[in-house]
Amino acid sequence: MLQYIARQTVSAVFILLVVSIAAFSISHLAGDPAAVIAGENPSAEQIEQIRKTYGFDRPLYQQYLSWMGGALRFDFGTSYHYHQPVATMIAERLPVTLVLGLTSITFALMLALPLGVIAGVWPNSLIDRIALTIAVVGQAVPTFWLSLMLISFLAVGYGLLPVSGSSSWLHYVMPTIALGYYALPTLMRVTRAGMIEVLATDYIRAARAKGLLETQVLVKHALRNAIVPVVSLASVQFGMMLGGSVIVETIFAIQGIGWLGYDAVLRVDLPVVQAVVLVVAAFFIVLTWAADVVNAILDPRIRLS
Amino acid sequence: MAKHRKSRRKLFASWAATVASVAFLATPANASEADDTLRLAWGGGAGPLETANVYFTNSRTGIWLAMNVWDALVYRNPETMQYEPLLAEGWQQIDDLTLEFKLRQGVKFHNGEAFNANDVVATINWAVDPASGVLKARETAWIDRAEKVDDNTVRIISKKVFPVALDYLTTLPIYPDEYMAAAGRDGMAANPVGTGPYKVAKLDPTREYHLQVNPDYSWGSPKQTPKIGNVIIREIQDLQTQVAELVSGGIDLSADIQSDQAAQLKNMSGLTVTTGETMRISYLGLDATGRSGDKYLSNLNVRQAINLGFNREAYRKALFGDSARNIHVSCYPSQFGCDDTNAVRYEYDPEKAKKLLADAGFADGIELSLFTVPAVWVDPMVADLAKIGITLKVNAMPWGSLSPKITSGEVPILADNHGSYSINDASASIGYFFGGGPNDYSRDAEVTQWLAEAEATMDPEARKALYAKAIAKVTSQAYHVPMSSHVRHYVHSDKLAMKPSGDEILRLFEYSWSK
Repeated sequence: MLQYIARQTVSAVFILLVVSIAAFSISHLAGDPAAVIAGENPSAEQIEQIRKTYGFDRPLYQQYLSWMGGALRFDFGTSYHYHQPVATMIAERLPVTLVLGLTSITFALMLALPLGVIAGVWPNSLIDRIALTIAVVGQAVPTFWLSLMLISFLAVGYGLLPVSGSSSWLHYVMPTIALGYYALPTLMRVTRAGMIEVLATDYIRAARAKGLLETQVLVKHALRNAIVPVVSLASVQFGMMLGGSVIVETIFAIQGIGWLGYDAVLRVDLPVVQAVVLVVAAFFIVLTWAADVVNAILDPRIRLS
Repeated sequence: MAKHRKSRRKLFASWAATVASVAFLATPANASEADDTLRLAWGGGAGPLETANVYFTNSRTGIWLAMNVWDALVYRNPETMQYEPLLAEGWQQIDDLTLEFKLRQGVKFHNGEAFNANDVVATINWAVDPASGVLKARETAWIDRAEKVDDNTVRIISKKVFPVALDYLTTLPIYPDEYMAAAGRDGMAANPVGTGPYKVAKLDPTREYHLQVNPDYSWGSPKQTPKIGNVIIREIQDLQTQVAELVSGGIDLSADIQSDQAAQLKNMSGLTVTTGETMRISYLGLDATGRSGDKYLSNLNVRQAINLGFNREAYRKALFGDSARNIHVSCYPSQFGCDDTNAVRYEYDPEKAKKLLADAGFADGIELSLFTVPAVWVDPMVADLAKIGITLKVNAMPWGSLSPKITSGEVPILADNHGSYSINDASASIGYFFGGGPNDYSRDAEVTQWLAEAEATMDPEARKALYAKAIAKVTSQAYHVPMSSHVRHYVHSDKLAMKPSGDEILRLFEYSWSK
């Protein structure tokens, strides 16, 4: 087991290194950062001065090494636009996005798991069709449209919830539904497929032959095995929510880390873009690593392969 | 069975209680008038204000915050456009380079610090020092230094003759020197302190600002004592969300709403749309010298054809309505020196435009590249010019990417708008476009010389004459396509009484609840 964890850890660090190089290089293609910092109407001398002050005149690899050195100490430099330490900005934004991501993935799992299990136990039944419809609609409906519909009905139409903001738990209800509903279909379909596959295996037949209660068969034997791919998928979906919540965060004026990255791209605020990419990638990689370890615990065959 | 029914009833009761409590807790904050709190949203489209230390931002919302939380030495009356004493009770021009200000006594900053000459000298000298890193270089570039004469008198010495000094001084808020020294740049951003009609009670950067009326604001400021006690400002970037907040009563005012949405909201009960013309103008800048590598725009016929082929009347009506006006030169009519009497006017004439293109040897049409920030308003231009044989290839990109291209001369046609930083003088428009700076794509040495002279004399008549000559030349050479003035729509609760101003600044201290 320890060997398996060590192998996964080395792989995760390598991926993070590649992501950091990509984030650093790609963001430097977006434009001349010195001209962006200079604002409107700068002279050539002003731009040159900024280039020297910020070290943009150094070779790219040197800039990368000093940036990465800082990043390892959680020092991502200063935002060109907001003139604040990027680490502080991320620390302020991350909790909001983490709360939104956690509530959304919880919402998605709370619906996806029961629906997937029921659809898997009774395939092609009415409940299966209903679950399938939910899945198709969930995949077809754009998040921005669902968000606007929720605002239109729940906030504007019936006044049940506040339109936007993040100052109370009520503010998270609509964003959670909008973001969670996007992840729900995939989770549900994987659960359903897993259940159908596992329920057809010999050990389930054996469990039933032993006279176990159907609940025990489903929960202890079938679901435990069917859930292995769902754990991986849920961690990936959670990672995607952290970086991909930009639309929901913008519409609901939540201003988490997804919004921060979007805003930074528009303003060519390179230190923020680089830091957001790195932090979100790090979360993503850690979540995937954790999912691998959990799966290895659930299914010993994985760590032996 | 009875047990099941009982448990179902219990379940329903609990569900109903939950819904009721949610509905109760989430009742839209419609009681603004009752709790004397004006709720407004800003940042629509443009994004949030980067810092509440207003010397470190060029955002329009920074100007709005500065107007309400701080005071400058001089105030420009938005209706008369005349200069009125604010923190200075009077001034006199000592010589061409020196302005002397007598300061008001008895004014206090929000933290209790008394206002005096030290604050003015410290603020101005700090703002002009490049080491301070403030982003007001445009507003302070003319200042050499400030000097204290006595506790209630200061002198501001210009580097050169600068006829627009008073207008620029209206944009420079005065900071408390002792607090600045103790709190520093970040401290001022976290806890802003001014002398203005509102004080910042609470601040959540890039999300929310809570303002409270300044109880000491009773020293006869031309800004008036605020009539509304509290203001909550929320940063909401998405315009649809701002609309939903307006409709649901979550906010009382937004000044970011576009014309099409304003037209729809006009008919909604409980909401009023107040529209006002602004100093902002839209224009096309043409690369007349071929800096960008374009081979067509250095031809006068092509530039004139673009001017003639554009239906500015239809454009203005469709996008801004009757509150805006067509412009024939790239400045705003109220600005000193913006007199279009001598301007060459290009009335819509597609046939004449086609002929000019044919005479230039481009009868088969040409393709030109236009750069802009993502905006719908280039579509009418594209359609108009297609009719005369000019295909516009539109490159829309965020300002952060476009700005370096403009300054490095890579843009053949720039479609943009310009608000003159609310400066009521043609130096901020004609001077900005044709004064030889990085945005000047005409590079006309004669015009640049006239504009430099206009900024170097205190004689108003001489200045007017120089601007008139420059306007005649830039329009006859069709260096720009002046399009239209803009409007700003203020969508607000009909319980709120407010009036718009040409400089687009929200003067919250003038607003009141309707009787």
